[in-house]
Amino acid sequence: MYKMDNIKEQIHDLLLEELQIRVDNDQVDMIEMGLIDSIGFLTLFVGLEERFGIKVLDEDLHSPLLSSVSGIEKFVKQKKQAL
Amino acid sequence: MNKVQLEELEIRTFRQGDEMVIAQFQEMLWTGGEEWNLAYFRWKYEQNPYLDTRLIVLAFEHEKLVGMVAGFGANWIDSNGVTQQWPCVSDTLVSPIYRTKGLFMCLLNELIELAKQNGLDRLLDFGDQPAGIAMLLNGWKSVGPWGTASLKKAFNLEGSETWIDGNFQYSTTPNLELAVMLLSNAQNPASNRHLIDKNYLTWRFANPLAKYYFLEYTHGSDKGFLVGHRTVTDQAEGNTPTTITDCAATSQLVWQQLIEKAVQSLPGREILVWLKGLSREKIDVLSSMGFCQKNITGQLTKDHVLPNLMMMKTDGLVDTDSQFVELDNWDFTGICGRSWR
Repeated sequence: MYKMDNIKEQIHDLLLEELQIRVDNDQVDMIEMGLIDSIGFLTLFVGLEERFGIKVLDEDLHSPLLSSVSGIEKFVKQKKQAL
Repeated sequence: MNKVQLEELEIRTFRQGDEMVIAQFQEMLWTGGEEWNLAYFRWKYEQNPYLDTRLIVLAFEHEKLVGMVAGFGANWIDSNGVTQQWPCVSDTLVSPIYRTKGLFMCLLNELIELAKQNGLDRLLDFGDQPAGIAMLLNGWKSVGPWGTASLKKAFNLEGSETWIDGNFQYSTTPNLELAVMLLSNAQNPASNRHLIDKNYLTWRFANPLAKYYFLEYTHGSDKGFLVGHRTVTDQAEGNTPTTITDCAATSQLVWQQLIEKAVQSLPGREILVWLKGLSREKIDVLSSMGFCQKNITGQLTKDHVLPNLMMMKTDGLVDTDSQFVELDNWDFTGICGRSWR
């Protein structure tokens, strides 16, 4: 079970285990860098839903947060707080 | 590889002579073989009644085609009764070695700009593919998705013959007059809807990569028209469902009888129907026949397999007009299912 302070660690694990993506800089824009595509995002979202018990909605994709590890961390925290 | 290397690609619009290269490249999607893929290209972009090949964007690495995004013509009548040319994005394909490199969005953005230059204010996409996620991330607006219903049924082989059974007639040739009358009458005139006329349906049913099966019902003034669809590469023995793309009738009872007849007679092992536009009574009829519904959950990871409508204004502004962004304001009669594939 995750803890709030290791969300970022979980996201790194998820990226590495499911998508074989290693991100050294949490601020890096993974879309801009061409690290992740649509299918990758779908895998990432399934993983986030399973690990954190959140739901990713269509409108969430308009959030600029989803392109970096630190942004995804904020996104997960916001989602958890809204539950 | 990064965006700098993408700049080494030649990205340009379609030119005469590109047809065969496209037919070969699109084998990954169209799977019809060169000859049929070429016929499909010509049908979709050269014989389209509303638009020509001007919205085809291609990416070449030297002489090799490595990416394609296109828009084919579709004429709509908006909820104010004004005819609109809103092309549909289609045949988006990027060579595997260029995936995750940003090429798809690069091509799509070129297409949006091209549409704008051609005076077209909006692009639509009826996608049920993961590429939709990239589009949403880049500002496309999702109007859908919507649910489907399917029924496993007794296996039927392909049927190419014409037969008559009481008030029903089965054929692989459409009765266009009947189709135009019933389908256009079934449309909601207060919605955004596709133009339905003889010209449009003649083109649509001429799709060389599609197999259409037509059921008609006639008894006095009671009439009905149903269309089943498969692709030419779908074997009846395979798992691809036969989609009922259209079903319109002068009464609920005739509609129900057509669906029942379709379940008995259409080829394949499974029948699929879109739920969008069906009344509660019609959905109840499907349920009573054993159709299983796949409804929207609101969860992207579950709904991405459902049919959807996404759109983009070519001026880049966010679409907020309820006339367009609300699913209830769209009527998909005459374009339903896999009818454009």
